[in-house]
Amino acid sequence: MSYYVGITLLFFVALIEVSVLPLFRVYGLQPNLTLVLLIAWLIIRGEEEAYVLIPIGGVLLGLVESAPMGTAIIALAPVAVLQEIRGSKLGQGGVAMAIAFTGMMSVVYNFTYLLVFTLTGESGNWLVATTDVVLPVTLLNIVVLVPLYFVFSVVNPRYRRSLYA
Amino acid sequence: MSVMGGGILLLALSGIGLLRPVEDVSYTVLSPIESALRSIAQPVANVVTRYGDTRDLTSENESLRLENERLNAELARLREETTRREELERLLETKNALSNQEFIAASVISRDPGNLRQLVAINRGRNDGLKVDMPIVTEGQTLVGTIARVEDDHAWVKLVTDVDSAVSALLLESRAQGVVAGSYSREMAMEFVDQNAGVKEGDTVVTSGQGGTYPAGLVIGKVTGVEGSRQELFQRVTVEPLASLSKLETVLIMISFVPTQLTPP
Repeated sequence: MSYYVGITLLFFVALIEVSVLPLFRVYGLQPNLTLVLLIAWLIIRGEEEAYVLIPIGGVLLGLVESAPMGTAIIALAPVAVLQEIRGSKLGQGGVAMAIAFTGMMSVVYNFTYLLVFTLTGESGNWLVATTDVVLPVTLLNIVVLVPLYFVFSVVNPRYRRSLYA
Repeated sequence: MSVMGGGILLLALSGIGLLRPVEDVSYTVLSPIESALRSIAQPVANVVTRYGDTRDLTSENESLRLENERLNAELARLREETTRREELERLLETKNALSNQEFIAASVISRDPGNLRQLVAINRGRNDGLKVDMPIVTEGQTLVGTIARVEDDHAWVKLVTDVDSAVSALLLESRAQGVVAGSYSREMAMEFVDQNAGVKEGDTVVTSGQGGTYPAGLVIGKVTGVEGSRQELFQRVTVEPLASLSKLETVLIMISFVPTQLTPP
């Protein structure tokens, strides 16, 4: 059941990224909502579901964005890789861990895009991109993550069960 | 690792065009949903961004802005035309470069969600005769960008503010030449402008036609700042686009203009 909810959510988030979020850009920037959603999902609900949702999110994002198909999957894959390294401790860190993880993954995610653009011959000054785009977007992603994390926590069955324990 | 491998495989398949049918079908299916979502969110965005302006004022402002944009473009084109005519009249009979152009209209159906590029998707593609590098203008005929990628039923347009965009330009008032380039901060700057060129705020920047990638006389924007000390070789001129690029809804594609691919001398 949760897979269906996750896939539906990712589908709408991908569409919202291209249709609604550009209308609410802050200094011309918008959060990487699919990335933030997947991180929140991974930390709150565990890696089993996230491992399935990460490639699906990448494909859905690839269908609606201008970058070559596959770029989003490569950019999202490190989320799973870091989870592998960190193991089950990731979910125990609470919101602080979620913020740190989002910060790290936002940088990796945007650098992956930058790498693909550089490899496909589209110009890119990494230093300027870092200061003008990557770091501000990282902050924006963290700002979006915090409320999303609490919403996910509240709707998570484990959390609700703990209230009655 | 398998996720990463899958991504690289898809990237390779996309690079050789094997995923084009999938992308085309997804756009056909998804673009109405995107449009519906955008039309739902647009009024909210208007309220948020304009701090409670009434809808009437917003639409009036929008129509006045379009009118102003059109008149500015017209004025710039007339000035450009006059100057050019004076220069060339003795040599050859000239015609207005833009009046002979053929346009087709397209709707903006999507925006690239990434923050590193400035691209929008339009609902016209290869089936409508679109080709890469064709110039795109607003209804007021100010420059929006060029076609970066064409699929069968849609195309991606690279905006003039994109970091990969560079347009040969000149200042209408001083005739100083330079290159208008985009940036990651979505601002445009006119580079390689001679230190002695008398540039001032409010000057109009138009395409020069140099290099053959754009027709001459298309309005790009207005000068908003000039930087550079006397020791420097060039001044750095900040340019604000005349077209409202964040609110594009309809654009015109200059289908009769064929960009020239210059070969080394």
